[in-house]
Amino acid sequence: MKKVGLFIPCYIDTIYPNVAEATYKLLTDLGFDVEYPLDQSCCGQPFLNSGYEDEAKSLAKKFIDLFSKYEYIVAPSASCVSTIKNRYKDLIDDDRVSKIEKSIFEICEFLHDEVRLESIDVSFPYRVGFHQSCHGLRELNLGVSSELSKPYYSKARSLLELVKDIKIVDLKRADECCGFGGTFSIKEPEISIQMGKDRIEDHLSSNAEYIVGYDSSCLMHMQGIIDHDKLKIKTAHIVEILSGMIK
Amino acid sequence: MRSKDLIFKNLNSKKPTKKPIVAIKDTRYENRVETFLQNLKKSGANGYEIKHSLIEDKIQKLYPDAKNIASIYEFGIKTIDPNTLNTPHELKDIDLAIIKAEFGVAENGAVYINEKNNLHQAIYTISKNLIILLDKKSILDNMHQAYEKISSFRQSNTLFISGPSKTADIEQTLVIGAHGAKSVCVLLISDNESLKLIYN
Amino acid sequence: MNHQKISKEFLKDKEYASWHDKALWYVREKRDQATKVLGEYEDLREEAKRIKEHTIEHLGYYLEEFEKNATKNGIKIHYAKDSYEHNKIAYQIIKDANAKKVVKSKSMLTEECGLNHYLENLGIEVIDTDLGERIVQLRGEAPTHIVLPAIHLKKEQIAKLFEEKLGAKKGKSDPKYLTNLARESLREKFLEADVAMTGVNFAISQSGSIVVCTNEGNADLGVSLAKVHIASMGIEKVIPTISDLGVFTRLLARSATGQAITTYTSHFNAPQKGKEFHIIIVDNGRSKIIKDKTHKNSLHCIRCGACLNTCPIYRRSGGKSYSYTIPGPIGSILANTKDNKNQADLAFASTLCGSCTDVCPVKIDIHSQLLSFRKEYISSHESWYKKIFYKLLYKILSNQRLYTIFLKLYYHLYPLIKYIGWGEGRDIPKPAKKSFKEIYRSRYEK
Repeated sequence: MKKVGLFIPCYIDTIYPNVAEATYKLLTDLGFDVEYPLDQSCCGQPFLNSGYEDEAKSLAKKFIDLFSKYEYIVAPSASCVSTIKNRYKDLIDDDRVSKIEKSIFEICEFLHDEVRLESIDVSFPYRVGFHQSCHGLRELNLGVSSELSKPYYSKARSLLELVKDIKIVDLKRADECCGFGGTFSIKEPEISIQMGKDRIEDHLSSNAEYIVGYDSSCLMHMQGIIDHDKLKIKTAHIVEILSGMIK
Repeated sequence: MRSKDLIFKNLNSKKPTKKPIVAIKDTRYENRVETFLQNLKKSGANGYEIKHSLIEDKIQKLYPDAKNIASIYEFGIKTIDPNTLNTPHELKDIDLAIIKAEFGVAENGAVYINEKNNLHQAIYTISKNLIILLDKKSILDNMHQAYEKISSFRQSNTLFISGPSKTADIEQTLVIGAHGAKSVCVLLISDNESLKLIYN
Repeated sequence: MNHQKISKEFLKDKEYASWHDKALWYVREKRDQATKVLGEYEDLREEAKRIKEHTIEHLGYYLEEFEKNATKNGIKIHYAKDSYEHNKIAYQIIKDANAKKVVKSKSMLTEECGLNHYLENLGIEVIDTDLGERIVQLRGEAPTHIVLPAIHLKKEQIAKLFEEKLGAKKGKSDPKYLTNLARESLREKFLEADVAMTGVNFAISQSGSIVVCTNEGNADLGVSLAKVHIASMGIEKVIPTISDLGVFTRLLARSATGQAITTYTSHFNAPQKGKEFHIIIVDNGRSKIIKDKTHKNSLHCIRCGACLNTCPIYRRSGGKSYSYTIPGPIGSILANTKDNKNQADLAFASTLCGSCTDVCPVKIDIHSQLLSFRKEYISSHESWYKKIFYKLLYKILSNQRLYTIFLKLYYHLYPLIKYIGWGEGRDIPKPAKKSFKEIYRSRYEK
């Protein structure tokens, strides 16, 4: 059995532990030996994005120390995986970084590229709006962004399409940013919230019952608006649906 | 220090050993004339395929009310020869100018204006309407081919014109007729006869 | 100026803000349609990037060749090290020609140099002839977009302006009527102008020519009537050869407005008989940026505006929220190359979504550069309380004990603190009863 090191970002650990559980369960059901190093912390992204390189470096070292032993590292967070895969090499000088770059996967990437999941015995009879978070889309190439003159493809969406009874609705703006942006949500809350509202409205106008995405940070920000305005729509991480843990 | 020296101090002035060659698998069209006419329409202009002998007839049908018509070429209709005017300002009341294009470009409906015998550049934009004569066989696929064909500029000013002047500066509403021509008609001449000049 | 403060005001008028966002998104959609018809579009972008990289790498050589060839054709070349010198040179040329009236077609460089005010203070009448620029000029404001200067204005506002300034009929806000009125009013100015000023889209080293692209025909009309043509260009506008234009003329209009090509693509190669043709080549900080490895490719910009149209922040905040001549993503970079200390708010006015980088026809890594400007700012100018916040955050995240304590605190205080909110209109995230660490320990740990 192949060993998988499970990386769970702090906001999933604290706000959406169900997403972490779903990831753990799904990988275990698929036959992997999943380990969750309890000593893990942050990948360093918020510090990197705000220019705090020293802090980011220190957290990166911690990550490398804990995870470099695993053949696969899987995380249900495109933004964290993107940071580790694309930015650790310029941040920290460590021989183990290149191994980590090859072994780290975002969950959809993993299921699509490594597991090559072709069928799944899960039903989700709801209307679903698919939210393509920016980091996953443009930095991890989980899909082809709408700006590019290339045929459209989405790894994440193709996984969602395996789910029985699901109806994925069309959106007016397929991949506009939701407005979370990490520190942006605090620095420019007005635009952040307006962007979130606009995204939610796009889903609502297509009668989506769920906004499904692969980045809980985006979903968390949109959920905050949904809760505040008491809107009739829910958010869910794709792994919750794929694992059958959300009914 | 001279400003030029201050600027060049920071720049690399060594001659490059090689320059990247543009290698694009550019789009070619099965029917260049058809594509040209489609894109011409998109640009807000109209295109007509006609025989050389029917030019005057067509001009009169298209612009029956045009009073002041200018062209450096000779036609059976009454025209003003702009080359006889001292200043381009005297062209301000021209309703219609008839000009010749060297070739057309299918991908965007543009035509290349490179008239070596025209004295006043203003004719291309000051005239209220434009008729552009174009040899149907001269249409190329795209701008790569266009600039390969041009290879060097032989007049003080040459230009591509794609349709009438336009703007969408007011609430993104497209309005045809900004400062240049309010309408453009391209006559694709199907038989290749050269046009005589009034100016000698 | 603070981007967040001005954006907050901008968003207060919800209907207007939504209209502004949709107007610009529409231009982005047009761009998508025009680029996706070309199977080779992504290759074109890569070629454009290569050409620009090569040119900037050897800019001294290509600029020297440009000057040589232009001069051979009778064009007068002037070099200006900064915006002040540019204005001085322009004024001198105008003065020497005994000129009083100048018509100007779009040039963001002349905006950067503050040329209009400079000349007006010296008694020269400057008329911006691009319709959008003329509108903002008459209103006494700056353009809010590099290609669509008046995108922030509704037609009723323009109608009112034309009523006051151009004698338009009251209440007529039909764009066709207003445009025609502007055409007639500006036609007079074209005919009276002594000098025509233009910008430069591309300067061709091989032939010493400049290329000016417009939809309105104002550059061509101005130059063909006036006795003197002054073209202002930044040093980075140079491209090596005529054949390189094939790449750029296929990219520019598609990216900017969704057209296959602009109505007029004019090559100015030499002065017309009996006329003067001057080109002012401006540095104003550009040659310094070339030495900056991280930011030098910002000089590749061909000023298409695609990054503005796609930017979800620009669309929801408008050009006036950006304290620089050029707004939006590329403007934020250019502003920071000039003054990181005072313009850093622009580097933070972004979610780093990367859409700008994807639409850029010359493949500038815009969002990555915004990130590096943040780093540059933090390392030299960050305020002490923000530093403390991040140090505290780091401590909490890196220490298991502190992390657990903080979590428990958050969970128990949540019923009280949830009223603080996460900005107006968004609730703070609801903490789970048990974190995954706790769940794993109790359920799954081997």
